[in-house]
Formats: sequence, C-alpha cells, structure tokens
Amino acid sequence: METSLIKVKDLVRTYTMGEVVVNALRGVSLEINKGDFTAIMGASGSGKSTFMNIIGCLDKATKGEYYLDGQDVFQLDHNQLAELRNRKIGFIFQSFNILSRTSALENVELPLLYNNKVASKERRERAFAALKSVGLADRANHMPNELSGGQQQRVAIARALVNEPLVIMADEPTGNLDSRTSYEIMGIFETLNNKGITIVMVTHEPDIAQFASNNIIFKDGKIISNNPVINRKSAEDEIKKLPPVDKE
Amino acid sequence: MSKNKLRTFLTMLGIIIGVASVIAMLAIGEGSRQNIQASVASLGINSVIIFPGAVSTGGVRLEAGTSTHLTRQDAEAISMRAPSVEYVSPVVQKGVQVVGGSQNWRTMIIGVLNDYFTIRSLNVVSGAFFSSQDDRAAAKVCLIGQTVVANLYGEGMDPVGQMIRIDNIPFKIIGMLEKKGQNSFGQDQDDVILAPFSTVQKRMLSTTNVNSIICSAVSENQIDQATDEISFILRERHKLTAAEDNDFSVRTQTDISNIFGSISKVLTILLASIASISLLVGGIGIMNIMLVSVTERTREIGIRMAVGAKSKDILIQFMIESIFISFLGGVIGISLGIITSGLVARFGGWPVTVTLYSILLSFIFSAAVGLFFGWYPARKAASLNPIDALHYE
Repeated sequence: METSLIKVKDLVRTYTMGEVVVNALRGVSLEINKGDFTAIMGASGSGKSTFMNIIGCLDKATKGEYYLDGQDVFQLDHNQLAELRNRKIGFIFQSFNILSRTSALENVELPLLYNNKVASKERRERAFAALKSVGLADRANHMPNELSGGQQQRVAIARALVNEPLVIMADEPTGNLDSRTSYEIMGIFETLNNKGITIVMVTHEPDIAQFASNNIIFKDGKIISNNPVINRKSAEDEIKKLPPVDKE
Repeated sequence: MSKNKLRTFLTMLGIIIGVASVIAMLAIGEGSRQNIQASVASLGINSVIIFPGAVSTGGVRLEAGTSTHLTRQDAEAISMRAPSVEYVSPVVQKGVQVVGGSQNWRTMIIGVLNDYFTIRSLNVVSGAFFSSQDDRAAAKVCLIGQTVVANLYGEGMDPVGQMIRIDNIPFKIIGMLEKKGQNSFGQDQDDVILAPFSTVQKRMLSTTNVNSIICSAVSENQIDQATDEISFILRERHKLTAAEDNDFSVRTQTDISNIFGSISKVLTILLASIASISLLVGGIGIMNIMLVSVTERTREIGIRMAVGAKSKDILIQFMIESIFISFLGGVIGISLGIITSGLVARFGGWPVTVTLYSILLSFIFSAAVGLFFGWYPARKAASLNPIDALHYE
C-alpha cells in the first residue's frame, strides 16, 4: 500500500538563461507521506523553490520521476496536469497571486470554475465556507486592495483549499508578512494538518520551519538533510508570547 | 472586461470607426450610382436619341458642305420604316421668356409629338396632354412643369386653364406635369414647358431643322437592331455613300449610362479604398490592444493555470471577450454608419443608399480580426508553463 503521497526520484532541472546554464536541481529523491507537515529550507539558489514548482506541477523537470498519489506525473499532458493542479494540489505563493479587481469570494471560487463537477450554486457556498474557515467571512466582497497582506494570504489559502486537495504546497507563505500574521497563518496550517491535509512548505525563516513536523534542507540543488522537528512550536503559544498590540 | 472599461471602449472604438466608415462610404458610392442609374433610366429604358452632326467621343466634327441636319421627315421615316422602333418624336427647343400670373420667368420650351410622353414616361397631375390634332393645327397649347408654376404662380398652385405668354405669344395651359426633380446631370427637369411640335417649329423657330429625334426600341434586346435600322434609314435619306461617315449620332441609353457609370465607378473605388483603410486601421487597433491585453494579463493567465485552468479555458475566456468587443463594436459601428449616411443625405444633399453587403463585409471583417487577435496571443500564453507565465514581466 502506497503511503507516500509524493515520491520523487533523481529529479534534475537544468535551464539556460542566456549563455549561462543553471543546474537548479542535481538529482533529488524524496518521499513525503500523507499527513506530513514538511518544511523545506535552504539558501537562495539552493533549488528549493524550483523543487516546489515541479512537484506543484507548475514547471517541468529535465529528468527524473515524480509520483503523486501513485500517479506518474511526468507522463501526463498539459490538460491532465491542469486537472492535478485543480483537484489534488492547492498552491500558495509568497506574493499571494490573487486576481486584483476581483472580490475575495470570486478569487476563492476560481478553482471551482475550472472544476466541471461543481455547479454554480454550490460554488458560491463552498467558496464562502472556505473563506469562513480562514476567518474572512465578513470580508467576502472586499477587493484585494482593501485587504491587508495577511488577509490576502488567507484568501489565497482559502482558494487553495476550496477543491479539497490532497496536499497544500506553500512557497514562502509568510515571506511578506509580519510576525503576528505569520503565526496566525501557521495556526491555520496547523488546523488543516490536524484534519489530515498534507502540507509542504518552503521557508527561509528557521522559526517558521519549527511549526512543521519535519525539516528538509536543500543545498546546491540537492537534499542534504531530512529530519523530524524537535521542540515543535504551536501557533497559539507563539502568539501569546508576542507583545500586545493596540488593535481595532 | 468590465474591469477595464476604458481600454475595452478604446478597443471597440477601432472597430466602430472602421465599420462606420465602410458603411457610410459605400452608402455614398452606392447612392450616387443608383441615382445616376435612375436619372438615366428616366430618359426611357429603351430610348435611343439621335443628334445631328457626327460626334466622336469627345468633340463635334462638322463637315462643310454635307447635310448635318435632321428633320421631322427623318423622324417620320424612322417611324414608318424601322420595325424595331416603337415610338418616335422629333424634338425642337428654344429658350423663352414666359409671362404669367403677374410674374415672368426664363425657361425652355420643347416642341414634341405625343410619342414623347411615352418615351420619357411623363405624366400630368392636372389637365391633359395635347393631341396630334393640336400638332396638326399648331395649336397654342402647352404643358407646364412645376418649377415654372412655382415661379409664376406660386408653389402648389394649379394654373391649368390659364393663359400665359411665351415670347409674347399667348398660350393656354392645358396640363401640369408631374414633378420629376433634378436629374443627376444637374438639370431641373421641372423647369420646362412642352408644346406641340408644329407649334414651336412654325410659330417660334425659323428652321425646319430639329435639335434631336428621340425614339424608343420595342424592347431592350432590340435596341441594337433599332440603332442599325435608324442608321440605315438616315444614311439613305441623307444620301451618304459607303465611304462617308454618319452625319448624325445615335446614342442609346446604355452609352450615356456608361459615361456616367464610369465616373461613379471611380468614385466608389475611391471611397471604398478610404473605407478599407479605416477598417484596416481599426483592425490593427484591435490587434494592438489584444496583444497588450494578453501580455499584461499573462500573470493573470498564470494564476488561472496554477489553480487548474486548461488551455481551452483560457482561450475561451479571451475569445468570448474579444467576440463580445467585436460584436458590440460592430453593432455600434453599423448604427453609427447608418446615422452618418443619413446625416450626409440630409445635410449634404447627396444621395445615399446603405447596402446590406457593406454591413456584412465590415461586420465579418471586424469579427474575424477580433477573433483572431483574441485567440492568437491567448494561445501563446496558455501554452506556457504556469510558473513562466507567473513570472512574466
């Protein structure tokens, strides 16, 4: 029985930028199991973002194998990959990547639009429920420019959840956020993970990596370590430790 | 699309102007062509006109010593001997001073036989035509055109029964002609008085020569035959030898229509060229905006693909937008084109006919341009790896 959700073998990614050949990944092998909360760390240029893009099906590898939920991803065509991105993966970006001039609710609905199994009435309801689960039910009709960074990221998280994916992949989800907001986002991830959703997260912040169940470190296009986290943090505790804010 | 109303509108503007121009220009061209055709047709579909003197295409050549005159007898001969000719009338005319209704007016009096009314499709709105009896008696009766009526008696008056003096000769008005308006040669067809041929010839002119002879062929396909018969008869009467050219000219309605037709054709080609250029420019406008639009929205396309949009989803999205813009722009352009044509007709006085063909042509063109330039850049963007689209600058 396959317990690994993500299985990668000898992944290589090479590309040319002008005259320079970049070996972003030089042979990466890894297994991530269902229910894991994995944090991937590494210096800039270590290949961690490239790796995320490939397992998120946003980019193609030069060589190697990748199995997602038992399926050989590299055999799939353009449209089949789109389906994977729609149903099995929920991707969250550092810069949020939500559509401007589109309300929060409409942003969250977006993946449902491309899911032909969902009728339009159900779309509204599910999107709204997803927004509620990240605490933004009262901001459903706000435009992105009316939302704070943290709120925008939460919209992106709701969007990533709305098709009930197998795995959430987040590339530096707290990179543009302050500490309090970052911990709030980690709180949401904790909740999701406790419900059984697998989470793979890239971060360059060591204290954020401590929220995960195991840490993987990349260097120069290869994995150099993969260890469970000792003294795992909890969001609730971290938030309590922060100095009080004059809010609202 | 509603997100950027200004840009959407500007895109549409290209189509709107292009379509409107094509429709208005072609309407002007078609209007003038039809107008000329109608004017020429009003001369009588099957009419054949004979002028004295040989006319080469361009000038008039008069040869000294030869008979270059046409007479009433020539007309009668044609009437009796040409089987392809149905109606014949000799025509004389003179510029005259007319006094009536306490006004005076300068106009043309034309002396004709009754066949003339049939050949020219003339009608009276009041009174009656004169008869061959009137011609035999050289009676001083006449038919009056409505421009003359307006200038002597006032607009809308009916002077039938009244006396007028034409070059000091008293005439009785026995009929008022139906209004015909201006022909495309610029002549006011209502500024005329018609009188029996003999009356004008005997009482007002001192010559037996006629200005022209107008005939009509039995049918359209006998026009050429009629022309040949007329030439034969006249050559015989004028005692021309085989070596000599005609000392008269026979002109069919086709000849006249051809001359004006070619002018109108040049006009239409000119206008159509201008219109095509505007349509082309409109198309280029759409192309530019669509390209810019997709380039700018490549990041957006990347986001959509990242959450699961397939190529066809992206294409459909952009094509619906561009179809909508083209369609709406086309409809507005057509309306604007029709309105502009109407304004030109009203204020410019030019004849204008909007053609279905111009509407279809410009509409199809703008739809095609919108479709292609909506589809092509979107297709390129949709084939990218999502991460490349997301990083697009």
